[in-house]
Amino acid sequence: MTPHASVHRHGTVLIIVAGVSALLAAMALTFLVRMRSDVEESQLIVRETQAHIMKVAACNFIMESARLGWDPKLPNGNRSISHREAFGWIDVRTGLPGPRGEDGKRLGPVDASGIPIAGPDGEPKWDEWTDLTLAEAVRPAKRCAMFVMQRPPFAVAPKVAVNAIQTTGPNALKPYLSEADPQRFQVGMIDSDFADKYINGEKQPDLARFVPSWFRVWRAAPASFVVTCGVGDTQGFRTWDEVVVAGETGRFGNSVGEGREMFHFFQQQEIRLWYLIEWSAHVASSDYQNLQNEFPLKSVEAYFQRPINTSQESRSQGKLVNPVGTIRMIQRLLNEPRFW
Amino acid sequence: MLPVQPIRRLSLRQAFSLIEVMIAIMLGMLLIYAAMAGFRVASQSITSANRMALENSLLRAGFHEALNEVDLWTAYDDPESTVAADQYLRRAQMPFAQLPTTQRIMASSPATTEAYVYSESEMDIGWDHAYPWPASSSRTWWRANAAEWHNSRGRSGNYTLFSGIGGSPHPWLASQMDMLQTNLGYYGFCDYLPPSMLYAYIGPDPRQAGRIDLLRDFVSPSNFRNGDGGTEFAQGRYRCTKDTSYLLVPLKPVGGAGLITTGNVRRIWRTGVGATADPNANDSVTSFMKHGLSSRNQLDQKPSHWPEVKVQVARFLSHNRFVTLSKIGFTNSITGQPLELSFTSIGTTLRGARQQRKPGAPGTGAGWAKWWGPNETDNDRHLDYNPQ
Repeated sequence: MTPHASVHRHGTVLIIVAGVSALLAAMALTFLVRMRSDVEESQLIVRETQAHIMKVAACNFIMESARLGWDPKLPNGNRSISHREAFGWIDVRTGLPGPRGEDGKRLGPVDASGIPIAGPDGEPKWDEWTDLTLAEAVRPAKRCAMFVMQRPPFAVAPKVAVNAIQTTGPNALKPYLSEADPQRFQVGMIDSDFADKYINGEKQPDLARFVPSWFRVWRAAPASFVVTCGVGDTQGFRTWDEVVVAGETGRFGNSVGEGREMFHFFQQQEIRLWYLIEWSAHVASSDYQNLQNEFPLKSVEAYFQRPINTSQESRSQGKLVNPVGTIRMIQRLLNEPRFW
Repeated sequence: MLPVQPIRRLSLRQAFSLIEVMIAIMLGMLLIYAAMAGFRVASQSITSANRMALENSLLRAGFHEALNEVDLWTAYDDPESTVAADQYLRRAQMPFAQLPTTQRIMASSPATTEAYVYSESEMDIGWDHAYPWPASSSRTWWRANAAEWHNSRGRSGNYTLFSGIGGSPHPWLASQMDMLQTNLGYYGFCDYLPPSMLYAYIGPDPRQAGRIDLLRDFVSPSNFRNGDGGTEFAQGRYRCTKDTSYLLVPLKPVGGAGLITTGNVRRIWRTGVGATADPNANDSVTSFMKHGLSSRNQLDQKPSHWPEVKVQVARFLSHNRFVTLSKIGFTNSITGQPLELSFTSIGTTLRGARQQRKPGAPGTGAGWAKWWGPNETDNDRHLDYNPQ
């Protein structure tokens, strides 16, 4: 064989090996691309599911803000120490739109000394997002960006059985309730630090579980709200103008031109669901038990009732605590409403 | 004579010895075998990965469909279909039947005043979708005697004078309750009324020869009342559904379309303590699910080697909880291995679902109703608002 032929023979083997390797590499690449595509599709489902979770969060927000969270907020951002209680989105005492305080007056913004700011009629102003006298086109929505905190305020320790019955030792089989249940969260903190950390928590996002999600609540009628549930990086801003007015352009790159483009890009990537939701002051009934059934004649009305919610009474819901009303109707909107 | 050419001896470099050939063939075969084996394993891996990816895709699609169903209720009414059977529940006395409506009674203009004074009257009839049933409104208050049963001896007075249909000054609440239970069935009855309600009312009782009294069906064991503890008095939603349930029958129940009857949306199901184990008995969870669980295949025209995917939903009320039970399942067409994922969630309520749909007789394909804003003139009419 000539040296020329020998080179040919070595080249053939190289080509075969290279071909087989390329084939395997192509298959591996296809596999990876497919997996990547799967992951992206799964991300979409995760986001959609998260949007539904936002719906629940929004319902909770509407119910709680019917009664709570109206402590005056001072211009410096701090809450006044005076606690105000509201009486529902439709005031249960008068039927007027709420929230109104114990004195029946509107709950809204206050000045630096905590005095309610008066509106044109001399009465306290509403917060803008609750103000039904504002035209629909200019009535703002309440925007709530949501995330899992590293540790929320007033966190308790995740212990299921704080007072588990011991099986050994001098206290074996004794059902002592010697420890407070639930227990406060305190790991590696000295007592002097604890109070502050317990009250304030660590409100930074937990990045390991971060899915950018938000909801907006727009008041449509005294007890009706348009809820927008979103998952995406706009953080619930509807338009770029809203971002500018809120002074939040830094979230999108700070530069107005590029920031706007970034915002619009996020808008296109985002999942948004719209709902019409109705709140009601009515809460679940406190079911009761007349002792009538324990008399032989059913026609005898017995007015002796067992106490409600006692632990031994199975015929009422245990520990029924619902001071914030209920969500009476939820309607998914199939079109984007004009106001949200 | 030609000169004899010297014999040209083959160089060892120009041929193979037998040993070399055998080794070369063996190495070549090993190489080909390794390549083939590698290719085969890779190919099987790809096939397996594709199959699992397909299953994952179908699971995702099923989950997506289940989430949509939570909000859109198409297993109970498909508003875009022109097939009458897809809007079967719009017939009279079924959950998607048209309710009688009144004119909108919100008197004030929200743009100019915050008063929102509702010009309500005890004499109003029909359903007003925009009326929020304020707790302060006296006509929403339940005024019968909570300790009475039907056929009361009236030791505490004649409560038919205070409340109810037929001569009392407060007929509104009783007539609303009567309208809802008559038109929508028991699930709708509970969905539409505020949760604080006691589910009994005074009116002419057909089971007591038209006598005006607390209706017997709502205080004594019946298709509505479970008689828990042998009690016979007006009770709230928890007591009415303690260990029992009301359900909605979907368009395609697992047990067959013959189960879609007005009676089946007006009966109580024993699903807790006291439910029987016999799957054929009425008081069994199996029977309950036959009536309540939808049976819709998602991919009727799928290739035969694809897994069978089902997305099912059941809606019922038990222990004062409105339950939307979603089930996603598929069966691997090669291994026959079943997989099922089930979850419950909060979404569009029955009232919301009715407000999503334009009015129209079964088979008209009336479509979805659009809502643009609270006072927009181009809002569509819907099943709860269709003034003539």
